[in-house]
Amino acid sequence: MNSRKLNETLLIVEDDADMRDAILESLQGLGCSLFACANAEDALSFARENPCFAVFSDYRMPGMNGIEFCRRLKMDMPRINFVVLTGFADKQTVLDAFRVGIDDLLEKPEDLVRLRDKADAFVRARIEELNKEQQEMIVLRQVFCEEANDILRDLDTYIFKLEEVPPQPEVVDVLFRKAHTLKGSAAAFPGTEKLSMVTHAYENLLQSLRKGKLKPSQALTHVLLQGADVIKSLVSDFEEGRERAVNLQPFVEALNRWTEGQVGAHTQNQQPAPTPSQTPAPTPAVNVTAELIVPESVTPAPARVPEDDGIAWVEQPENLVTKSISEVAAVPSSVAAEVPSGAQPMTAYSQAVKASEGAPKEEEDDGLFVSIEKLNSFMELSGELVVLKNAYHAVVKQVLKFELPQEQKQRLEEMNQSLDKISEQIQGQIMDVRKVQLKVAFQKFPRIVRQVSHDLQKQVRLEMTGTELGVDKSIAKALSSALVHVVRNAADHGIEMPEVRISRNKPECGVVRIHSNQIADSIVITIDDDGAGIDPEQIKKKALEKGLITRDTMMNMPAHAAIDLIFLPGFSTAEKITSVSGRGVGMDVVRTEISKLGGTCSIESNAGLGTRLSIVLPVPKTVLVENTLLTESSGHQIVVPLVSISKITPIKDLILSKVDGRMTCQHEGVTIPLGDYRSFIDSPLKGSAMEKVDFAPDALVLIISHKEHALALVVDRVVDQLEAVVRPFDNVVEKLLGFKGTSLLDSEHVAFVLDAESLVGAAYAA
Amino acid sequence: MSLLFLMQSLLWGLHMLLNEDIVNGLQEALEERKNKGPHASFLLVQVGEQKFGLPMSQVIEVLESRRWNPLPVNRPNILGVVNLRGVVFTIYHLASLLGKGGMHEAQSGQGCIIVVTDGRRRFGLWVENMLHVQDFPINELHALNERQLLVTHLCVVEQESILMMDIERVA
Repeated sequence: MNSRKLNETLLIVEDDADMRDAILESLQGLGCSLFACANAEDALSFARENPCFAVFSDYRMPGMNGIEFCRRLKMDMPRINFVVLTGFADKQTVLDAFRVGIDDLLEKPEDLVRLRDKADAFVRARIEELNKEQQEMIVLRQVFCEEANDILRDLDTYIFKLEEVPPQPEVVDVLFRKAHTLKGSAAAFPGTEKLSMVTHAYENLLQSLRKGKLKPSQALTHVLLQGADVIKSLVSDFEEGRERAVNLQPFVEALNRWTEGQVGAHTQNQQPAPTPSQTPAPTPAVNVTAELIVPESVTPAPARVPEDDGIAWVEQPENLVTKSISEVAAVPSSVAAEVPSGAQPMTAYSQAVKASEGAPKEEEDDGLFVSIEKLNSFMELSGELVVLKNAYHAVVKQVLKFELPQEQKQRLEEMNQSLDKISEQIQGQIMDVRKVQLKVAFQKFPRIVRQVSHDLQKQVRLEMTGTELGVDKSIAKALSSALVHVVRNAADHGIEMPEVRISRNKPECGVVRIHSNQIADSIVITIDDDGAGIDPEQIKKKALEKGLITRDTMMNMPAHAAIDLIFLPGFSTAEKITSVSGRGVGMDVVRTEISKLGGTCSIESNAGLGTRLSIVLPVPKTVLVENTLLTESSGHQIVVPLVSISKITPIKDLILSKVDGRMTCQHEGVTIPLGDYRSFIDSPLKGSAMEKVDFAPDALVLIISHKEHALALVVDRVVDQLEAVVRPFDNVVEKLLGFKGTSLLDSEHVAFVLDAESLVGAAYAA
Repeated sequence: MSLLFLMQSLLWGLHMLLNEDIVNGLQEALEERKNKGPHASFLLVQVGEQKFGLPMSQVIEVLESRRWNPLPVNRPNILGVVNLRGVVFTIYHLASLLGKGGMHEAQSGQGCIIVVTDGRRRFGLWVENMLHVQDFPINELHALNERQLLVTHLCVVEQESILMMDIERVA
């Protein structure tokens, strides 16, 4: 008996009622539905309307016989299992039956036991087949979702580009292709009816734009952005197997009205389009600009009553909000009515775009989706290659000591160098694969600034530079979520209302600038705004009101410490809670997120001039391979990461002295503890209790630095430079103070990798 | 039982190929084992004057005359680490673990490293003197009450006591 139920039917066709009942009886409990017909015509009709996986049919029946029935059924359903039951199986019958594609021919009534076995086998095979199909569908769904997310990733960016002057025809083409591809792919999957419906309407809208029936405008941008949100939500729902009872028909109708020019048409040609000469040249340093210009005459759209049957969901970058469909559909028209669009007729638009040169092309992404786990395994394998290379180096070094023909020596050295080069390239390539450009992480910010500006009726321009910087995916993800709060705060709290800015002799439009850069091993992100700045006294007052500080603390608190209070959980200077800010969550989240990655954030502000938030993040150690120095100390082979070594000097060149019974030396005018590694680990005191004479005269000293501290590490000798593949200790040793793992030198020798942070920490421990 | 069945089937097959005497000898050995009841195999090692048994089910392999790399920082009972085909794992000094000697007597490159697993971890036990593998009838293994010790059972063979260890108890 099959434990799983098959939701398909096994069809029995038998004109003899007793035999039909006997067959039905013998097939009970198979785990599938059974349906019996007295003739082939009825069976054909049933099979065409109901999912059937197998048929057991009599051969001799009134009307159509079993073989003819099989022939006709297989024309519609070639994969259906068909077994003929007959008491008159002559040679010709058998031949005819197999010619039309029957799966078996059983004699009745003796074969009823075999019949059940046969049916059971069919049920099992069908269940297995369905399982396989289901697995294949899961994989296909994953591929579709990955492709869809890839298509949608930069959709907003391209929508914003529609507003750029001069217009770029490729942008419309790119958007159209995205919608078209998405629609086509979605159609292949059951359960994507809503997605297909919306993408179809969206594609039509873009087609109108492409053909010049519509012209780019802020209102149209708004509609396209709303459509993109709905599509993203639908893809996300499909990905997570979620289905919401939402009527999207009104939304699709709204899109169709736009496509047909019924909405926003009254705004067309209201104002002459800005000619290229009137258009200010874009600032070269600005990569992305989001600007919503709201004239003084603009009044906020009246609040709308949500309709019960017309709810659409719009997934904002950071949360899911619900809007009434009337709002989604009506906002564009209100914006269109209020905002003078760049009223170029579409034909002129088309001509202009055709004439434009150097327009950006779609960034073709012909890459593959690779999981982090797979990348990590590649990383480990490349590490193994480095170990092998190190071992090979050691062998070559030994071999070269022997008398060998010069030609062979040269060949060995060449191979050594080639191996070096290839392993280095592999390492570099794999490390690069993990990186993503910040522009991918930051692409939602223009939209956020635009939305905040619109909601608060401010004029804010976002400028982003350095977004081509590649960072580890973990960093990009953290920055993407953390900076949402910073950008919102800058636009909300920082940038003043236009009239205030004018009264302060500032440009009407405020600017928020995000600059990204990598300096040595640190990623530095600054977010500046030219707004009102932060008033330390107001911060103190708010903190006191909220009970975050005491009055005494407040009195003695310097300005920079007061500004730092904005990072406290629950702190907000906003007078009221709005959709933009004021809930007191935000900056504490930023600091927490950044701290998790080992980074810091600080804030500087000048009253009336603006605020700068600086984030410094260490480049994560995604690499298993470190450039190190292989040393020997007290018979142990110790590997010291080069990045921790600030100086190497013979011990005889140092002036050593004893302070509180411990050896010290001078380094850059500072007295630092000196000793071998054991002295820092074994002794709770700083430095070594050894005398100067206890160190070998040819010993070397490595100055090891970590943050603001340094120590002088005495080693017996420096053996070589080594690309060390650092492996953590096994689950027996787990941790060893002063060391972070092991590195293989050859098939026998293992070196221990020094951990500068832990060793310096131990040396300076109280 | 399934193993016995397999072996019997194998013997039946061997009848067809091998000398009948050899097969009969094997058959007898099999019968003898069958009559003795369930057995457990142990790898016997000599630590001082005492023999200890390590369950064969937990022994992975034995490395003879293998050099190890001492830890730069001392850890109780740990001699160091060894690289076995690219995997670095820890070596315990068995005598020291059993409280039967200091680690100073162990010399890298001498003795044996018995690689064992407790299911969760893999590590080595260094012994100076490894003996042989021996089967012990389970009903002759006497449980010891002292639960905190590494030794869990005692077996007396020809008036000599052998202490059986439980690898999982190695801290």
